[in-house]
Amino acid sequence: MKNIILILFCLFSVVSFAQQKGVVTNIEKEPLAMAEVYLYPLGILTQTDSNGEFNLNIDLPPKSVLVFSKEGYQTFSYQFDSAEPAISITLKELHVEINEIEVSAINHQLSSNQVIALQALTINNFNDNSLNLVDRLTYIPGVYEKSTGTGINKVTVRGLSGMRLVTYLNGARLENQQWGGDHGLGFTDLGIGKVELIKGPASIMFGADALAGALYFVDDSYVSSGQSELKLISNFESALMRYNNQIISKWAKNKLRMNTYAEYGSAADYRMPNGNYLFNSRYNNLAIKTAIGYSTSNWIINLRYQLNSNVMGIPAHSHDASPTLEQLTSSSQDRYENRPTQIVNNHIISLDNTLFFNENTLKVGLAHSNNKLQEFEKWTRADYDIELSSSQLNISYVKALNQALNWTFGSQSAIQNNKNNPTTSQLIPDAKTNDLGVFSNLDYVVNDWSFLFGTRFDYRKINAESNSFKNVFNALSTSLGFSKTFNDHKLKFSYSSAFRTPHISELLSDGVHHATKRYEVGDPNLIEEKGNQLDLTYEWSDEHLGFIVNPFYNNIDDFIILSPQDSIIDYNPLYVYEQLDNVQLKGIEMNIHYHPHFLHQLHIEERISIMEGKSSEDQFLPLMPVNTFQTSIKYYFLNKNIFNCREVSFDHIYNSSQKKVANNESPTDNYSIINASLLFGSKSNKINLLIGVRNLLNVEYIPHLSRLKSYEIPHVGRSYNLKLCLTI
Amino acid sequence: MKKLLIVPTLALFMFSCSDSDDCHECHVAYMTDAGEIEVEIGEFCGTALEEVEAPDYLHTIEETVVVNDTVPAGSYEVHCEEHSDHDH
Repeated sequence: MKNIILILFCLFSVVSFAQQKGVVTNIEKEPLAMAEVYLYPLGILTQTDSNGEFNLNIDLPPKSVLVFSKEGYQTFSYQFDSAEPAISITLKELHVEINEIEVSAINHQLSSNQVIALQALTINNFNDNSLNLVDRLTYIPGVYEKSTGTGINKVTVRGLSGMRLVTYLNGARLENQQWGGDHGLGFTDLGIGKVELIKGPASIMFGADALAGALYFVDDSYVSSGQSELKLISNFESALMRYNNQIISKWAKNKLRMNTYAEYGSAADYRMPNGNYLFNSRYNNLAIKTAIGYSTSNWIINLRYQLNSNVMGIPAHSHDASPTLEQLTSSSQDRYENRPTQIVNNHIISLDNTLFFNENTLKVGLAHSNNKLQEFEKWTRADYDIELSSSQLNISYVKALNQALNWTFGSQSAIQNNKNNPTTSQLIPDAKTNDLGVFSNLDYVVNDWSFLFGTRFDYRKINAESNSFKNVFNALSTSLGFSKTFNDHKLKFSYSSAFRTPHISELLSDGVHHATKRYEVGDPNLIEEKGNQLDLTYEWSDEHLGFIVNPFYNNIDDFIILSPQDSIIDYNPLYVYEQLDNVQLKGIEMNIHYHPHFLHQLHIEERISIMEGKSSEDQFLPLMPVNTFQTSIKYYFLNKNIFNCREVSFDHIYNSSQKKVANNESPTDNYSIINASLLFGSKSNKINLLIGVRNLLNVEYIPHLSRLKSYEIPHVGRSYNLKLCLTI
Repeated sequence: MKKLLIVPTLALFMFSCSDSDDCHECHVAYMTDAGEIEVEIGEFCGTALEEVEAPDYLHTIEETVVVNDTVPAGSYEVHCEEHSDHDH
């Protein structure tokens, strides 16, 4: 009998849901059709029907937040209350929106209560005129792209990148040999919904290494129960003759939901403004990805897997020590695989559990990643063949001490194993790294004030038996800050400290790094880098104008650099890892959004990033970003015919010259480029077409953070972009 | 539910469509003050390609004239990657 009752209970639990309904209207109480309703933390997106009504046909966990958005209206977040019989939401017309974030996936705070320097960016893969995901991220002030051609891109935040910037994908930390200047982000925008970025030290939440900050990518939403969706996105970029196709399927029934994605892209050598092509800048990528979610009223579980397989040509290869630009470029464009090549295969699997106990929340995340990096100069054998596996366990508990005070505590642990193929040469040795961090954060929100105080202890052990190297690094990090809102003004101030242990590449490298054409030598006596940042943010907005001003100062002790030496080993220039006593990074970032009253659909946005990096010996640091001024002008068309133009946009990007360079680093000139795009869409939003042009004036320019700047190789010339998105 | 099966099916198709071409034109590179001079040594496939790309393999050539340059007889490392059409 007990078994029968148990089976009935299980069956009942599968088919019973809260059938809570709601309606979305405008200020005139007219229903708003096709308004989006995002259910946080379930990650489900649904829409209102033609009467502005929506159904929540799923049990929502406690403290769920509903985020309502519609083009031309202000995004509104609503704290879900199951006791309320029906939800009635009124959206106001959009005037100025200067910060996109509503609920953070990092610390689950509403944007209004956010204390840390956190910015979010929606990754919308059908109305985006960016060249790639990293290019898209440069829309955030303080974020820059470090590139090797167009296929290998890294994110730089406030002048720091590589091991200093921690990247997370839905709670799983990405480990993909990011120490190498030529090792890119490793994945595309496939299935990515948004990215959140903490600028500056973020050890409290992300542990050792997060000296530059943390990038946190969040997956695309699920559909709501009973719905399914099939989407095809096809993209063509003329200067690279690149085609990229994505297919996305979404399905949900009752408490179960599933997203599946696949992508294949191929790019030929890119065309420079003079009509020639950068030889071997070609690449192709293949990705598959899936996410399965299940939830009850007090439990959410998500299982995710993704594979990224990239084959990237390494441009600027020549047997000459000082090749000319002509030797590195070609008059014809090819896409077949050549040498030298970097082949990267990256598997990531993660399982996230969130359990709700009344007002408290327990999160347990497990993740495993396997990164295989091969660099080939020959066809039949790799010069390097390194496999990095990483297993992680993250546990956090959020305890509501009272209505205003939340205490978050937990631990993050990881085991990493770096293993070389014994038949290939080695640059970094086999090594095992064990990490353990414990942390405690207090968030206090009262009236218009928010306070944060956090502290964390980290332990890291590195063991490289082949080099008889074993070392333990410990450090304590802290973070504190406040935010205050008064009328249209908001002030945020935070102090954060972080540390970064030297990576095995910095400690134990000894060999030729073929992709960078350097002989690199590490120093086993390097100690931890220690960073302290002060960050101030002032926001103000009224109906027609809004701005954010964000000055920062980051002081880093024992900063590790790769310093060129005056000698040659194995036909390659020698570079040695060294430590500077102290460096300072300081700057200011601004975001201004103007929306004139007389032209409601026009939006003008200015994003400004200014910074410099210097050592205590008054020397400029290498590869510091230039000052950037980006202006975006967008006009939205509200008339919804069956198929019509929905948006026209112009972007002007001015990058200043960079004369503040390190010894042996080449300066770069200033440049301006203009991008433009037209977005067409059907009334039902099932068909979207983007026609864009990048570098409209075919300007010849060399980005300061291009690894190819020493060869004076210009970036991509004028390029037309065509993107079609079909939803079935 | 049918829509769910489309993506894995296409992904399998894409994996199965990878091509392989294991024959490549090879050359030896002779460095001069004016740059690199390539001497073509023919196409190599399979195990022959593996042999000429082995770390300790040196290919012996007679004295060769390439346009106006003379590459002396000797043993040289073999390269089988293609260079840009300007790099000659």
